[in-house]
Amino acid sequence: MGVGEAFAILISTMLVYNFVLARFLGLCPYMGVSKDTSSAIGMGMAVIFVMTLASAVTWPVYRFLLAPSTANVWYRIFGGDPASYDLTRVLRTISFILVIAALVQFVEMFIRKVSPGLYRALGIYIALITTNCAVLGVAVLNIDMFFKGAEPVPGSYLKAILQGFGAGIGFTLAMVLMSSIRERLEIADVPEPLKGVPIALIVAGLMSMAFLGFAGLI
Amino acid sequence: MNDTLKDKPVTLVVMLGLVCLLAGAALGLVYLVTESGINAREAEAKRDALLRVHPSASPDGFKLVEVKPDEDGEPYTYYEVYDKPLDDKMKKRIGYACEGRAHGYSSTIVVTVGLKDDGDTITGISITAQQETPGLGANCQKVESTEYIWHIVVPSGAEPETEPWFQKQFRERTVDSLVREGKTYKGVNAISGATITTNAVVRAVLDAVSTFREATGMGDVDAATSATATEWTDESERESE
Amino acid sequence: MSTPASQEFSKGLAKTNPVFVLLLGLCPTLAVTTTVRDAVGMAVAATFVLVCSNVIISLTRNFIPPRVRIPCFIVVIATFVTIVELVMQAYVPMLYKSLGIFVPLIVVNCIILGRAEAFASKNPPGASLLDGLGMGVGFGWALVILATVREVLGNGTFLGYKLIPGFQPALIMILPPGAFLSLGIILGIINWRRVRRARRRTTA
Repeated sequence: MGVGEAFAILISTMLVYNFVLARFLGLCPYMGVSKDTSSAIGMGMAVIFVMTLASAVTWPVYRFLLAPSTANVWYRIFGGDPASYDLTRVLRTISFILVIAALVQFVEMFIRKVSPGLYRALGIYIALITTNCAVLGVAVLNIDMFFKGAEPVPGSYLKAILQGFGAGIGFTLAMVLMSSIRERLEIADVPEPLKGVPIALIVAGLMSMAFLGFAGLI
Repeated sequence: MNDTLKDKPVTLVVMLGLVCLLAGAALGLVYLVTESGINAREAEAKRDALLRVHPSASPDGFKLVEVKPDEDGEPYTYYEVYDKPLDDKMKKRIGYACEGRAHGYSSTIVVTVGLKDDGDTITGISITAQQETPGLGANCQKVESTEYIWHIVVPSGAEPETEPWFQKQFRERTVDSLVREGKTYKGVNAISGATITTNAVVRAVLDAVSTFREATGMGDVDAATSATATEWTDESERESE
Repeated sequence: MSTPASQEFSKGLAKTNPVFVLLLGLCPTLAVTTTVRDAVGMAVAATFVLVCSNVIISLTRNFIPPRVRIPCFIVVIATFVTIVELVMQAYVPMLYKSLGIFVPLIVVNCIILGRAEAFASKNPPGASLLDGLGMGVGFGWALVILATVREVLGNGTFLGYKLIPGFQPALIMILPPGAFLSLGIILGIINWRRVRRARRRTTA
């Protein structure tokens, strides 16, 4: 995978197909945590970490445990016809979400050890990363984009990890932009019915419109 | 269940394991029931996609042909199209189906092209993948609906439209007639506001045919490749979309 | 008792509507509402998963140890989501393709895990079923409202049928910005009505 292609993947997941503003993934924490910038940045860092790790772990799970190919572990153990070990449709969702849940547990323990301040600031939101559509979304998207049937596209492991990383950065970017706007909205004269989430959604709509301008960049 | 028993690690593992086992059993059962249906649907979708570019073919008359390259590389595949099912001894080949791609405004456009036996006349095209600008380039796949809401109660009696108008115009055209004329191709109705996407689709069609001719040694290779050689490099020709 | 039962169902429709009041499940709400057909499909799928997982979790609420309840809930919910995926692929493949990645994402729909944790793990199966049904229908009709606005204004059609001859639709409505703007304005209208009703009550 050349530098050009890596760059294209990063730009595409961060800007052109921003996970929050163009793909609608990760909206619940986006609305919930973007009220002030420091917690937005902290949450964003945690999400980048989890998304990159999730991409790195779900790819081998799919390739070696689920997909019907000669690399499949069950085929290696039990023999027979590789095509008959097709667990992709049945176990993909369950295995991916369990992997993500386990990863989030580890990240939570890690943050508690390394930065207790951040752990206290984020509180329940770390555990909620499990239900963040963006994490499961990027794992499923990696499979859709970088697997042709059961065989991976060349260089796909690195591309998947890069996509997870870029998606996390795009998510953080959208959150930080939103939080800085919302901090100002707190002291602005917003009409009563629009205060809180409605005006935040309208702001998100305008940001999404701005990000539409990146179309055609890749 | 006893509360202290619930906290024992053994119980945790056993209960979680039991849940997973039951879940697996339920899933296995559902998969047994639906698997044949899913496979049938996938095969049907593939067949329908090919039938769309070759409407006069038999639904079971598509034969996949693989061409191994001389050096190490991806084998090139195309379809031979017959008027009767593949196991029918009286079948006659009526043409081919091949795939081509070209970069459009914001994505790679993938096109399946149906050809007559002469390797020149197009029986139909089908755009299978694109991510162009919605409302502009993406209209290359848009099917104009003719049904109005009152047609639920009072049927219009007209045949519902199933093919995008943009793709329909390629039927019965010869590849060699797709020559460049100014900013667009001769005789091709462009999508308004989406010249780049329009031209990319035509280039994808030409790419499909030239790759097919090169791999099978059929037809006039030069005619198709000379048409694809005209890449737009002049920035001023890029329309804003 | 009939009154409390009907309340378990109806609370999901208006008073604690999962989308408009609790603000849960926003991802599918904004993503699949480009057409009413997709919105209905997603609503049916999500309601099926919600009701089934609520019932199963409620039936097993006394057996599952609290320490592993979240993983157990996830396995149960993911099982039903996979069942929905398989059934959709076999019987309505076009809808499955339209909904794309949002079918497997039903498993992380905050509504489903939220109701499992807050209600089904603490209440009998009958009430859990009604709660799930109410929340599901509430989710569904919120989706349909948003989808109607977006499809009519953004495509000029409803359920694929064209509405006004010669109508030029506003494309932005079926693009991502339109989703955010529509939901924001709908929520604003709901708030405005609530504020006005409260004001009228205090001046009366």
